[in-house]
Amino acid sequence: MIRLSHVSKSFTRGKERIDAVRDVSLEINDGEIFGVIGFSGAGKSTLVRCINLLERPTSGTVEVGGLELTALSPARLREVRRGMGMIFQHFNLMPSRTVLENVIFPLQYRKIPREQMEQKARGLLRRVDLEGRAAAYPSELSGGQKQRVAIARALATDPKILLCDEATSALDPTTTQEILALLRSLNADLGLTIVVITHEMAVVKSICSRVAVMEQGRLVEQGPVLKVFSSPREKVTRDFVGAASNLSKADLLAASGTLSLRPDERLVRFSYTGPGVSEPLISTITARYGLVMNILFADVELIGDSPIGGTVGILTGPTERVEGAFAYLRERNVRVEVLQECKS
Amino acid sequence: MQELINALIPHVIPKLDELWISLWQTVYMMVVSGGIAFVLGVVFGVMLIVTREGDILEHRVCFAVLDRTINIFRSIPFVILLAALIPVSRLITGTAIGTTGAMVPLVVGTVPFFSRQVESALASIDRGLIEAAQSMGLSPLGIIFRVYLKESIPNIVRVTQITAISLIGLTAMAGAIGGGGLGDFAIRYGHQRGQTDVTYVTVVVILVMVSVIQRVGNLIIKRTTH
Ligand SMILES: Nc1ncnc2c1ncn2[C@@H]1O[C@H](COP(=O)(O)OP(=O)(O)O)[C@@H](O)[C@H]1O
Ligand SMILES: [Mg+2]
Repeated sequence: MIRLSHVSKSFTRGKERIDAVRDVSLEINDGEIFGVIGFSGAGKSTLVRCINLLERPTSGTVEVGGLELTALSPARLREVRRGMGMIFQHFNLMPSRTVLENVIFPLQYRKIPREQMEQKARGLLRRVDLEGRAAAYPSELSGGQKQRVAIARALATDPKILLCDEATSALDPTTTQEILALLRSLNADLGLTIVVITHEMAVVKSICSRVAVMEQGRLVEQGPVLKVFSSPREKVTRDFVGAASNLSKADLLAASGTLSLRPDERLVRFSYTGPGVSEPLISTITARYGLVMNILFADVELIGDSPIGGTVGILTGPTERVEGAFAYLRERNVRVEVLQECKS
Repeated sequence: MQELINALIPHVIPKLDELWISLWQTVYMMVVSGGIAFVLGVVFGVMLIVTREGDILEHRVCFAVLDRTINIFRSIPFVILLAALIPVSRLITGTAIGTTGAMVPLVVGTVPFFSRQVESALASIDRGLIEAAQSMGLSPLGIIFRVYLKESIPNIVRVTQITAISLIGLTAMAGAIGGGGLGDFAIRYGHQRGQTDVTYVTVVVILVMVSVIQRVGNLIIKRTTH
């Protein structure tokens, strides 16, 4: 369990004070994949660096596995850090060392026989599918391969926790998916707790079970990924969801005033927030309530096993029957919004 | 052939033994003072890096003292240093003349320059590597040896080449005040007695030394760059 209580971190640059993290409290359970999302400069990196105390919080406490890290001596802290792996956006492999030597690197604090370290490193390289490149130098590898070496290196000391700071942000979408799949399998096979820092909603959606949203150093919203993204409370969260979804175009359409509606028409948005989207809801309501739905946009995707997304369209029919249809949809966990009606 | 050599360098031939001795005196000064300066320069260069703001052993006072001291010594011309350090030389080596007497000024003249060079070599190490090492639980000493120094080997060799070559120049100057060596040899015969051929032969010998330093250095750089 990682527990941050009222963690704040400020930097002073000249006379200026920058509050990078402000009063963040957070609990991350053992064995979960926890996401922290936010735009650039939100304080995500500073926050994750507070977890292994690369950055010492200005105030607040950091507890990992029941140990209060801010109270430990430097030597004890180094020991605790060996129980937490970390990977980075730019991989940070040692350029003068081969792939194998990079993976051995974190083991060399102990007097373990060389063969034993090599054996361990080769096992880890096999785990990340790179056994063939043990003798290569980092400069000879692709970005995805470098990140896999970095993961192998981070796992060398058998950590229980893996911290990932924008680990896929320098990679193309296909490679990103490969790395995410690797992280997911490490989580499943080793019970590794993974903390994922990112500015990409796709990353959180694809591997995280819970997410926290950061803005200007504050944690503005947190919860299960499906819940946070299907019914976002904060504007910044909506911006992330909106940026990833066509459904927000409907707001622009309604705001532009270019759409002219007849008296029995309204612009509606149905958002799916839970199971049930597999039912043909639109055709059910149009048939059952005798309505016509002219679909403008539809966007549904899966987060974990649950769908989120929705449909935007112009719904035509008399008000009482439309109300009946709305009630039917709400019963099935569909959020109903009327974005524009005929101004009469 | 023998005649041609005699015609070209008439004054050198009778002094071959002395040239040989001068060469070894220069090599001796280079190796001893260069060796000491190398160790001190690396130590000071590392200290400048790790005590700077935001680095692993940040220490304002230590950094400021080192930084200013180096600047002061760097701004003193070497000839003045030679004279000014005579009492210090006597204290440390027991003499202020000859090759041994030249050691102290040579070290003092080289260390500030070399420390700055080492500092800039280490400064080019990516912060990310230090962070990665910290996250793996390395101690400050581990980071200095296994990241800062290990990853800067090619750059340190490069700045060592530059410093060694400028050290040749300093040994020649030290020679002029009785330190012996190739500089002394060239000045005594080539300059003061107008035996120009002695000067040219000395220049050739020095050029050979420079090229040996460059070749050895480049070989190490090539082997350690990936
Ligand atoms: N070492 C530092 N010194 C001064 N300011 C910093 C330092 N590290 C981060 N900051 C500032 O803190 C804020 C948050 O940075 P960061 O945690 O890197 O954000 P993110 O990772 O979300 O992009 C930024 O305004 C950044 O400029
Ligand atoms: Mg960041």
